[in-house]
Amino acid sequence: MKRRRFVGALGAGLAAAGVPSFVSQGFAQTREERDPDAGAAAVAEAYRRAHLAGRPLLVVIIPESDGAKWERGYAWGELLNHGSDVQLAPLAAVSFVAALREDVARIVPDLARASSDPLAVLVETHQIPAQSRAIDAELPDTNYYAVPEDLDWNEREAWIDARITERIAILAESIADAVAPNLPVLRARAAQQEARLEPWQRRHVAQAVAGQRRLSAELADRAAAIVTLGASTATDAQAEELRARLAAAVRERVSAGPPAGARWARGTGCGIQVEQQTEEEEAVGLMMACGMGHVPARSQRFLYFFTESRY
Amino acid sequence: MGRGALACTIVAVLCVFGCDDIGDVGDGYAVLDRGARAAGVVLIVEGTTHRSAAPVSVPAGFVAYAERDGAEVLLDPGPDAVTIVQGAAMRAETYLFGRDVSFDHAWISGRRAAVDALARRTQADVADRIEGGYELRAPGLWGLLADEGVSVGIEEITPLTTGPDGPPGLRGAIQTPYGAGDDAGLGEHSDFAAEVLAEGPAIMMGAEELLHPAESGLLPDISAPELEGSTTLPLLVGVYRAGEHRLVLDASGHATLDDAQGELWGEVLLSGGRLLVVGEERTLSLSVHPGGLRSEGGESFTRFTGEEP
Repeated sequence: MKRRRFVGALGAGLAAAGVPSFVSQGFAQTREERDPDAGAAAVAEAYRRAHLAGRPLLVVIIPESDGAKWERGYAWGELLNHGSDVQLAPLAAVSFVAALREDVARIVPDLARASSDPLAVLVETHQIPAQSRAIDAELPDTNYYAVPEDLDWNEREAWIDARITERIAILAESIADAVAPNLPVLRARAAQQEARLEPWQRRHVAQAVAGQRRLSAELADRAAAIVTLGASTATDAQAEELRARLAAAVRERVSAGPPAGARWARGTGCGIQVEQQTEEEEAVGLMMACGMGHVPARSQRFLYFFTESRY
Repeated sequence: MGRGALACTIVAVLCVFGCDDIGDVGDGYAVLDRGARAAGVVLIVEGTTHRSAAPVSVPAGFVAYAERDGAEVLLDPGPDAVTIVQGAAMRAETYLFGRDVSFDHAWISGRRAAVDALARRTQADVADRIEGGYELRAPGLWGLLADEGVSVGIEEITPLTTGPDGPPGLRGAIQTPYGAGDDAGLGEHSDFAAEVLAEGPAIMMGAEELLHPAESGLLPDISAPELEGSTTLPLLVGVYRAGEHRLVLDASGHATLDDAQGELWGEVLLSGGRLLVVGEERTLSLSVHPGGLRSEGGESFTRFTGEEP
């Protein structure tokens, strides 16, 4: 097995595979063409909606670097599509948006002080001034250049698979540390959400936390912080059930659509298909050319971050 | 010495003997809730216009009414009572001191520093409320609040009940759901206006909410011990545009304005139903209106959502 067989596998590989410029023209513009306020406005809208939902806002940072766009997109895709219940459950308590750091910094000025693009920023939405916390971690690379040369095909597959598992775990733990770091924060988040619930919803959630009722995905989503708090003090079996409901709520959101500011795409090594295309995009056949590469199963659905027409 | 201050002195003496809820006997009070103020409702008592969050004394025989865009609602709290004017629809609810609510307690929302300053002026004790905001306690408090007025940073003052076996509970506008009539005439941007102007933690369910229940439709009031401060400002965070002019209200509580007078960066405050951008060289005063903000000079900033029209 030659190393070139992995070209197009991940990250830089796909970029090197040669992506036709029309791919993004259907849904994005160059930086010059883009409305200069659009990105910040999208973040502001997400912030406002998160406030209304009683949640913090998790801003997935779209990195400046093109190579990082691929790697980050895969990392988020792996977690959101293949994370375990425990890994996904904390995400139920947040709202999502994806944006460039420069756009986020207009709404969350603290971010302007960051020296590099963090993985994400968690912004509290219950009050002004809002507290924010950068979420960052070093994620393992899985691209062509990172794979050891002396491995055969099966060994390379196993090596990449292990790195993906590690990447999911690191990203999930980084988010969990920020979203649910300790009991006081959990309680505050639960109180923020409780104020948004109607009496019958509070009753149902309380019964579910007590193991007397199965929680609907909708209510688990709406009351995620309360359920998370309940899971933290429940018996192991009940905590597992509650986390499963939270994870189900996340999966439902993930299947419904990407965070605002990004697109879901699928890549199999021979083309990339962007999901939920507009009629205009479908009309032009929005699919990248074949890269003649291999993409591991857990990386095949990923967040597509490109916003400029050169990709 | 104002009536409230005098009352405070009297009450302070009387309360040595254990009494409660003794204030300006005979006076009634009127107060605008946050939603009313944000909608531009004013209180007019004997020809004097009041816009702040402070209660206004309405002695017997005084003519008092709430007014917004030419529409008026006559207010007659009667003696020893407070009338809360709620929302854009100016719904008036009256509570009797001593029976429904306490004359010595009030729930206050706003910046902590402003609340502390008000507490010092009224010699009141301050306590955090479990549902957010603060509780002020002082003999004859409502009379004092009416005399002292309130400064920038105080968003809302609401009466509290005195429970028979527990601390005061929230009352009045705080528990009042957003009325169906409140959004009448708000126009095409009524969702935004309704959210910003809404005064209670009630839930308005519509098609959007049913489709995206976790992300929308919930009106803004925050409840948590540490969730103090403004509950309105988060809803105003955004990018606003008026032609070539641009106003960005960020989540740090600051605003950046680029208008005909140049650039302005400053702190954002809510006062008297208006939003102030306080910069070093000038202050911009804006009112919240359906779909955006309007400056005193009449420039209308429309909220830009990032989506193509």
